[in-house]
Amino acid sequence: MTNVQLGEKLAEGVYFNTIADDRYKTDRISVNLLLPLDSGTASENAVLPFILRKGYRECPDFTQLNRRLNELYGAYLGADVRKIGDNQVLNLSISSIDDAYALEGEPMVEELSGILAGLLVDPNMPGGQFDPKEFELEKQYLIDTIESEINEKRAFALSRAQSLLCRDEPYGQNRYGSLEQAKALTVEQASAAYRRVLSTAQVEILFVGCGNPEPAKRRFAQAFANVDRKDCVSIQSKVVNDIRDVQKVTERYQVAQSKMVLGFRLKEKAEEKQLDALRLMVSLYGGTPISKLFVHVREEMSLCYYCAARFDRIKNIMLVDCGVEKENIEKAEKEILHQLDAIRQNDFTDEELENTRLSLRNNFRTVGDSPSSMEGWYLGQRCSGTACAPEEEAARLDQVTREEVVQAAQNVELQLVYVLTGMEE
Amino acid sequence: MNPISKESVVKNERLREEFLKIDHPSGLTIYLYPMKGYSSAYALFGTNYGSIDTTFKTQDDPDFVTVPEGIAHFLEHKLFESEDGDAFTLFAATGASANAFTSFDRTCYLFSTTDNFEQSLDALLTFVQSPYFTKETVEKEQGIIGQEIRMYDDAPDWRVFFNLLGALYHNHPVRIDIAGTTDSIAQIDDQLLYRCYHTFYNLSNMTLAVTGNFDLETAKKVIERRIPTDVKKVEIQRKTEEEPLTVVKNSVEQDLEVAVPLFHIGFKEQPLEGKELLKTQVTGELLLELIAGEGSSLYRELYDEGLINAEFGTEVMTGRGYYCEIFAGESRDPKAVYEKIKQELRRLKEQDIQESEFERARKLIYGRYVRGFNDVENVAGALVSAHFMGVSVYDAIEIVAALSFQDVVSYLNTHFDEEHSAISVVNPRKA
Repeated sequence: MTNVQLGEKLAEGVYFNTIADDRYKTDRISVNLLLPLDSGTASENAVLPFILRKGYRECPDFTQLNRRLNELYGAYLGADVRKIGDNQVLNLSISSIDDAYALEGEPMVEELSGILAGLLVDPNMPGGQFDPKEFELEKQYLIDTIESEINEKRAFALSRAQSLLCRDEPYGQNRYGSLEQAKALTVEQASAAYRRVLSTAQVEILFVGCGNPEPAKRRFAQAFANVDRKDCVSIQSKVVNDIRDVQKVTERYQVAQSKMVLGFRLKEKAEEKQLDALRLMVSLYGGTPISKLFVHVREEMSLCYYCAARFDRIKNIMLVDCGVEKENIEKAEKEILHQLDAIRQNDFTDEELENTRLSLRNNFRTVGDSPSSMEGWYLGQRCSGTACAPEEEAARLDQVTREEVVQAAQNVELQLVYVLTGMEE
Repeated sequence: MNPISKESVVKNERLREEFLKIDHPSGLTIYLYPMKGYSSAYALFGTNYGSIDTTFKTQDDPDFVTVPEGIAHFLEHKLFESEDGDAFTLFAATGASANAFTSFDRTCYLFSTTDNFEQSLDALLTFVQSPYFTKETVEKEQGIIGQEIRMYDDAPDWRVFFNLLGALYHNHPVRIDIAGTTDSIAQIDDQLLYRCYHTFYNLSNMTLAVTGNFDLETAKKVIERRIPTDVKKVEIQRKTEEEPLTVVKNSVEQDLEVAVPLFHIGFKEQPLEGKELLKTQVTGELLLELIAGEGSSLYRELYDEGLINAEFGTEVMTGRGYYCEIFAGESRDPKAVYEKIKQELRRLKEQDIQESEFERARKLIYGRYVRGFNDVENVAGALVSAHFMGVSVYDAIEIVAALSFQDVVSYLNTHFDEEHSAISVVNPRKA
């Protein structure tokens, strides 16, 4: 049984969201600080979760903190930076088994939320500043993280494509900010950024678990009672429907396999109903193993191991990506576009459409089976100002007609061809 | 259900959970594990056959055959194709999401579904038992898998891991990439695929685990329909070359497109089986947390000196015929990390560990195992792993609860021989 209660206000711009579900054996609590993604502040914001994770006034020592976490059945403490639409989301989370499964019946929710709230509002800042040594270590980790994005070639290519496609929008920024900025960070700057973020960010606290959320709610209400919350930021994302000439960008690295990403925008602004149609269309095009791209580009032509399409519902952007041999790049591009034309020309069977609908419904209905996907789902809802359950979105797909799918395909327009390939011989 | 199927209910008081185990007359062992409150059902149909099974015969074959590297993975891809088309189309009408994976010592086929469980299970049991390989379809797949191999060639975390295994193992096929190489897969043909299939995809070498939201009776009905009872038993003989405990070399390096060097440090140990393996593995996991987890003094020292970052972690890597402990991460000076780890192990062996540290690490590992039962996919995976290891899925959690300080001390004193260790590093390319 899932019991969802969203947007309980604890303080100005601070909200507590409960997703209680007795199927789990765990409790997961996360704090999400929502901020506009801005090139001026991206890096100084991004370093914060990594510093905050290291300790707080009550337990300033990282080793002691981790020993405490171990005693709490290996409670997992996560720090992360995400990009949702034009916003940067700083995330701190903690999770472990619920009281009901603790060997000595320890009050787990109380303990876990106490630590998380402490890390967030009560960091170890003697004289108003982070410890310079801790700061330097985490600054270096931020630099490493930015530089190491190239390690994952597929994710790197997708991220480059987003940046190129949205180069004039906040969404075009790297979620960690730029390497130059990260390298120039000072401890004073990070400390000031912490104070700004704590008082102005939109704060979304999510509790996902089988336990009782009340102790967590109380802890966070107390924690924010002493925070001076003012000038809260407003969270929004801009959709661009301005069609330009297709950008063609090739970048060279020492790689064996080339990656190609095609970026598309919408010609006409889409309302909710059209967004549902776009979601279905993108899945029919390249979201499943029965999709056009999988069946034709991979299975029939053997050009790629992966070739897939995805849609960002907040930014209204479609990206198609594949890994391909250098000599097959043009052939793959041609076939990818050819398959989109097929959908635009109504060339797909009822069976393909219905099966895609089934597959999407299955994905939506599976969200609740994992606490972290549940958290991601409802955080997404909070970022876009909606409050839909996964099942409700699934149900809306049933209303989408074939004609709307065709129109959705006709509404996407190629804007970018990005290729990451090997050095010239 | 066929009258000669043997059914038993297996319970665990600690987790307040239970499941049904069925020993089917075909030799197939079936685990049905309904989980309350979940939306999806998840099924794994697996065979005890992976990339390391390269030389084998059955009781009917006169001689052993040695097959090209990567054939188990190739077979997994090809099994999705039948005479009437693709297995994905069988699942398409159910909405289920289907997939498969091949590891060193197993191959599994799976689906996850919230609707049409009966048709989905039917599809899974049908396609895995219907091989169809032709010269043409094999050639087509060589292009797709060729691209998969090329993708892994560019993945530094994958390379650093396999380079380590290559440094640790002389003969054991765990040293070879699961997907093989472009050259090795070029030698695969339809006849070889059939030979592998008929050797390893016999029901007594397989298991089926179903977890999550499904009806027991429906599952039994599909099993009765799709799993034959009268099956000839196949006796598999695997040939493995002797593997000494010594390593091939202590150090291996490769240059790739990375910013910070990646490292894997491994200690090679004696392989084990069954419950002894499970207990050793659990003890090893606990000890690794104690030695190098985020609460350890070693972690703190390495971190504060800027020698590791938050990517650092440890694992016990084990399977049929191999066992090693691995320390992995990113570092500007991997060799210094290697030295510090060796130093710390020497120190702990001489001075012994604290009992309080053991208790903390035990709680951590206990929590990790309980959390594993939060997820339908994890539970199915654990059932299959336990089955192939010859233990019960609840054994691990009971072992953790009963583990003694002495077990950990004795593990420490009989493992981590520096002579049997190696470091693998992936360096940034020189400009």
